[in-house]
Parts: sequence; C-alpha cells; structure tokens
Amino acid sequence: MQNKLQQHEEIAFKNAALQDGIPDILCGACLVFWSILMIFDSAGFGGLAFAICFPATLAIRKKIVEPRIGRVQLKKSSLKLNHLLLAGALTFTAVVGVVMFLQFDGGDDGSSFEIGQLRNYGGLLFGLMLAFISTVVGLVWQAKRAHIYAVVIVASFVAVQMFQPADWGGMTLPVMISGCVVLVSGLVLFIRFIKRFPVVSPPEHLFGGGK
Amino acid sequence: MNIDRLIHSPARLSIMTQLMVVESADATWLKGQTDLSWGNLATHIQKLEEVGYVTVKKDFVGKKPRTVFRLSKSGIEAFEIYKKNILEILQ
Repeated sequence: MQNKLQQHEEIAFKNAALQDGIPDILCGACLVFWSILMIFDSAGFGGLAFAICFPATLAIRKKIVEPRIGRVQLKKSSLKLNHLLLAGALTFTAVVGVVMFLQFDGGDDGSSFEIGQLRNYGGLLFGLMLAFISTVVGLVWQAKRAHIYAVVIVASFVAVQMFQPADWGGMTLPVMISGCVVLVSGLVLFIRFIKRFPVVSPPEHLFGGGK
Repeated sequence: MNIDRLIHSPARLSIMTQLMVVESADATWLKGQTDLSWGNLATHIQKLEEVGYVTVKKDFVGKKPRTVFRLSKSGIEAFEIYKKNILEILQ
C-alpha cells in the first residue's frame, strides 16, 4: 500500500509539473536563442536570457496551468530531494564546464598532446554535458522524454562532429538542432495540454470562496 | 476489525488518498484526479470536513474564489489506522 501511495505521489507530481510542456518550450527556446547568439559571437548572454526567462515563464505557467488542472502543493520532502539532486548535477556540470573552458580556451603554447586532442572534441564534450543534465532531469523527475532529448543532443553533436570537425566554434548547429527538437516537442505537448484540459472553474454555490 | 466506514467509501478513499500524497489541493485538482462530479466531490468533502479529517480554506485569488483542501492531523492519523487495519484484514 505504501508503494501505491508513492505511485499516487509520482502521478500527482507528473500531472502537476510535466504534462504541459512549458518547461520544454522554455529550454528549447533558450537553446535556440543561445545558438543565434553564438552566430553573433555573443554566446555569453545565453545564460542571462535563461535567467530572465525562467522566472517569467514560471509566472506565466501558473496562470495557464492552474485554471485548467487546479492548484496543488506537492509534499515538501519529495521536492527537496529532487531539488538537491538537480542542484548537485547542475553544479557538477558547471564545474566541469569551467574546467573544460579554462583548459581548451588557452593558447596552443604549453598545451599537452592530450589537451590538444581533447580540444578537437570540445563541442562533443559540451554536448555530453547537456545530455547529462537532460538525463539527470529525466531521472529526477521521471520524465522519459528528457532521456530522448539527451539522445537527440548527443546525436546532433556527434553528427556535426563527424561531418564538420571543429572545436568550440562547432557548437552552434548542434545546439540549434537540439533546441529546435526540444522546442517543437514542448509545443506539441502544450497544444495537447490546452486541448485536453479546458479552463474549468468549480461551481461557486458548492465551492464558493471568502468564508 | 474496526474499519473506518467514513474513509472506506470509494469516493472518500480516493479523496483522502489524493490529499495524503500532496500538501494541499483545490477542488479542480481533486475533481481531475478522482473523476468525481462537482456535486459528489462537494458532498464527500463536506462529510470529511464534518468529522475533522479535512480542513477547508477559502480565499480569493484576485476576484476569483478559491477553496483549498488539506488533510488535518486527525485525518492523517485516521488514514494511517485505516491503512493498517485493511492490510491486517487482507494479509
């Protein structure tokens, strides 16, 4: 019975957080926007766009989702563990990213042979980092589609690496492809969500407010 | 074996189970999860509220009324006892 309750909790979480596709749209749009910034050599602003869009999207999401599926506050204990796992994975990836950047961005002088070899695969390593984040999100939130995104990300980076070997400069195309896939998937989910859950309001004579 | 008949009803068991796995939820959420009609949901929630298993908080979000439900301490205890008793019967 405890397992059944846990299943109910997981279903509640999935219904509340995963079925609307808005987080996918946000992540996909940010990746596409970031790839466009890369074209204009302003990739550094990508993080800023995400930082601005994330809270705005959460507010919009609340306005769209709550009138359709209702308001639910999930158990703090389960959310805390999820947030810890996700924060750990993101911190780990950020540290690896900074180390990679410092190693690869240096000049050729003094670089070891291994670093020189790795530099050729910089884009691919970055793709693996993105795929790792996606996989962790998939595992933590039990979202199967995040695993598919991880496969798509790795596949797009591998394809670009195979046909157009380059170091950091070769990230634009795979980031754009990955972003488009995530964005389109999010849009499909969102349209399905809107169609499946029309806006409902409880009858006031039964559930009136302002007691 | 003493089974709490108030919880044992399928509709109320469904409502209690949903409220057991979340902190709080509103009527729209409960309706979506339990597949009850508005009338049924209101009736069963009222019964659970009368015995003190569910607490009801009514407020306004902007101009819209909102009713939020959560299990009270006695509701959680009653659900745990019900769970223990039903498992003992079935085992």
